[in-house]
Amino acid sequence: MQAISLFRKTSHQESGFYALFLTNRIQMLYYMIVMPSALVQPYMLLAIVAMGIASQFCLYMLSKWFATPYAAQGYQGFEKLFGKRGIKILALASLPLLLLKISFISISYAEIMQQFVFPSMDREWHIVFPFILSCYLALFGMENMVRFVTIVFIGTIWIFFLYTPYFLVQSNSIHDLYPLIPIGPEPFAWKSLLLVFSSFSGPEFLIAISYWLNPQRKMLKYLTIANAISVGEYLFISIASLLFYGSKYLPTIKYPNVEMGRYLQSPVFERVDIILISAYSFSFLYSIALFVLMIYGASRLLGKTKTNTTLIGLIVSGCAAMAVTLPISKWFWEPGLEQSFWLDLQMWAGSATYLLVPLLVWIAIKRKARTTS
Amino acid sequence: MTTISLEALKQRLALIEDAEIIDRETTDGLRLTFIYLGTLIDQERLNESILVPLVRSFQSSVEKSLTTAKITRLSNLEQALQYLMKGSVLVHDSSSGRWQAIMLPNSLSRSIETSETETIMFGPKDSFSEQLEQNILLIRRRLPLTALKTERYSVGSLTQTTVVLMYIDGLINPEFVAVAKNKLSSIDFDMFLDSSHVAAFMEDHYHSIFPQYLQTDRPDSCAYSLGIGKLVIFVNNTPFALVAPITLFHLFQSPEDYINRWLVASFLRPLRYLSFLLSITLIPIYVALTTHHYQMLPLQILYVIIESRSKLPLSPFWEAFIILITLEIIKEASLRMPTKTSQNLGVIGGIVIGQAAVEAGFASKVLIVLAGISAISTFLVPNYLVTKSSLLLQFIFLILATYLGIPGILLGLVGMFAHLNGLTSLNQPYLAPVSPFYWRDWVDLFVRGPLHAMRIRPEALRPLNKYRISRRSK
Repeated sequence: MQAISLFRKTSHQESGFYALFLTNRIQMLYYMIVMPSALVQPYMLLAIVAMGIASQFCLYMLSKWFATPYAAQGYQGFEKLFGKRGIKILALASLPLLLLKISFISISYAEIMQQFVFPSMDREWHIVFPFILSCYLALFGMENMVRFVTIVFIGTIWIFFLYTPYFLVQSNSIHDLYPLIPIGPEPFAWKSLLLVFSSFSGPEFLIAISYWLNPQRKMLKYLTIANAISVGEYLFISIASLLFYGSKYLPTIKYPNVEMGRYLQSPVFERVDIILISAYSFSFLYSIALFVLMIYGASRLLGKTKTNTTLIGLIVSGCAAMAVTLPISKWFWEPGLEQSFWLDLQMWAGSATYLLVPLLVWIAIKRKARTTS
Repeated sequence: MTTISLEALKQRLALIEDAEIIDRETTDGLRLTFIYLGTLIDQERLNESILVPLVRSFQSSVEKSLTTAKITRLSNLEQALQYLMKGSVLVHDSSSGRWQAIMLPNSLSRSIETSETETIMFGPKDSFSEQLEQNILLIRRRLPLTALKTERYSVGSLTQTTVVLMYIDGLINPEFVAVAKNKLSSIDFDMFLDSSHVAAFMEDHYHSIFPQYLQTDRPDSCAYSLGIGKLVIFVNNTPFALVAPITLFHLFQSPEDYINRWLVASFLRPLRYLSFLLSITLIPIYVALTTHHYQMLPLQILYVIIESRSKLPLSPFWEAFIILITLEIIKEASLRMPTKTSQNLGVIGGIVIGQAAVEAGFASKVLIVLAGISAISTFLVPNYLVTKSSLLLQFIFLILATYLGIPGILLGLVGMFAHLNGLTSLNQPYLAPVSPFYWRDWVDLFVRGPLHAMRIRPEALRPLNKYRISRRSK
């Protein structure tokens, strides 16, 4: 099999913009679609702000990693920090989490695709086609993938601006956004908080690709901007949903954000939502490709790291991800179960990794600093 | 290496009808033999500047007799034949036994004409010709700099084509020059009859349908490229120069962009990107809508389409496929046919496609309108090679639209951008300054900013001198 260099690095361009775009796009991946149905009361908007601040804390820890010389050294950096055995344990632990994330986002997106665009086509086809394209994307290697995020950002950010008309509807009333502070005893919405925190997760995976991000000291600035944009986007879409549906009707809708798209119209297209859903695939395809590359990278860490990367290795990684995703979609993604089990699982897993991974790295850096001094 | 002898030369020139071998004796008694190919050299200059002064000379050697001519001393037969085939006169001094070559190439060339491939309303009208020296002159007139370097290479074992690498030393990133030199030196092929042949061997990704070298016949365009830190490659006997490294966005820029008012240019440039997208997606969108997503259309438009398609026996894919293929046949035929008959072809094509196809029930009126818009859109892209590439893309998108509808088109776009993102020109990213992200270069990307705002050269090219203005006036 022909040797390909999936993980080589040639350019030395220092740009925190990639970290910014990556953080933002990964944070806006899936929960953007379902979150409005979880944050049904106006006062829950504050949860977005609160969890945005909590997310900032995790990003602060991440930025500490980027500021160390280890981040720019790639494998050697990790080896210095965790040791060879530590790397293997981390790689092994990351594999199921990556597979879960890939499965969850691809099945969720496939379901939306099936429900709104192609009801007659099996959901599994909506998983297979994007997977093939994602593998093609991943074929260009990590360096190209990191750069490609600029196009993904430009290709998807415009979608939000189409929701502006929901703020301009005459029947809208500012009272729809009250009360911002709950009146009376409200049930503790810890699950909503967890969901919001989980929705901000994803940037922790940037640790794995920090070598290609050309880390620098100003990284916290870019991560903060990305986080702020994500908070803004979540607030924007949640407020639009509250104004459009109202807090009583909102809980009854599964995909409020997508349903809203159905009411967008243009002189040429009456169902703009089909274009929006299709365009949003940009983000999903990109993320799957990125995660497939990470799976391949992690599996190489478990085996022989010194051998060349191969096309077959990448395809096997892609197939492994698909082999996990397709059975879940076929046999374990039942109506009701997907919300109560898979969403919960992803919510817990996402929150845990977002909190623990930066914390682990942060502790490791501190420990290393203490032992070397 | 074989030593030069008259017998050996005669043997090599056997059966070459225009080979001339003449003997002359100078006033001083020097016996000289002149060997040349009559069709390759300027015979008038040979008589006036070489033969007459030499015969009348009282000097003891050719060098002393011809003080103004550029004389090269030859050491072996291969070298002598090389000079001979490039338009030199070989002079043999029998008394000293020396062999010398005097370049006297026939300056046969066409006059400088207007560019036909990149026509502009305002601005310089001159264009390159097949004459290499003339092309270099056109650039030197625009950039009278000693820093403008030219390096010559010879490629092609049969054609011995001269290739000239041109760049501004001290401005261009030396990495580009090193890569280009390396690529030029490693070319191994027999024939190079056009600059595109050289480009094919220098491209990083020869399977791609996107050109990785800009081919232009406009000296002003080349001079501008050199001035911002790119290099230009001239190929002898070709009126097109190669410019590198380029990005996809360079292919959408026209020299007129920098002549028009910046606001006008900024309006026209996005229009070109839009036309390119329309040219590859308009027909596929029609097929996607009529095959899978009728519900996307407003009722009034839906009525028009249903009415238009009501008597058609073909599926939207076959309807579009037949029309697109017919359109391409007509386009290709109009290029190959003699000028006088191509006008008739246009009329026939218009009637056949515009009227007869609709009446016969092969295509709907809506599709004819869309095919027309799509065909016109391709011509807005200034680069002819991109126009041709868009044709292939259109068919790929058509198939995707037929099977996967609008999501298929979006998947195709993602794939196309992924492919473009992986491309390089002279090892430099093809989608810069978007990917890699150089935000300062965006002033001349989707819009053309005012010239005053373009104070620095494109960051993506990493020039050695990044400022375009005097630092003191800044």
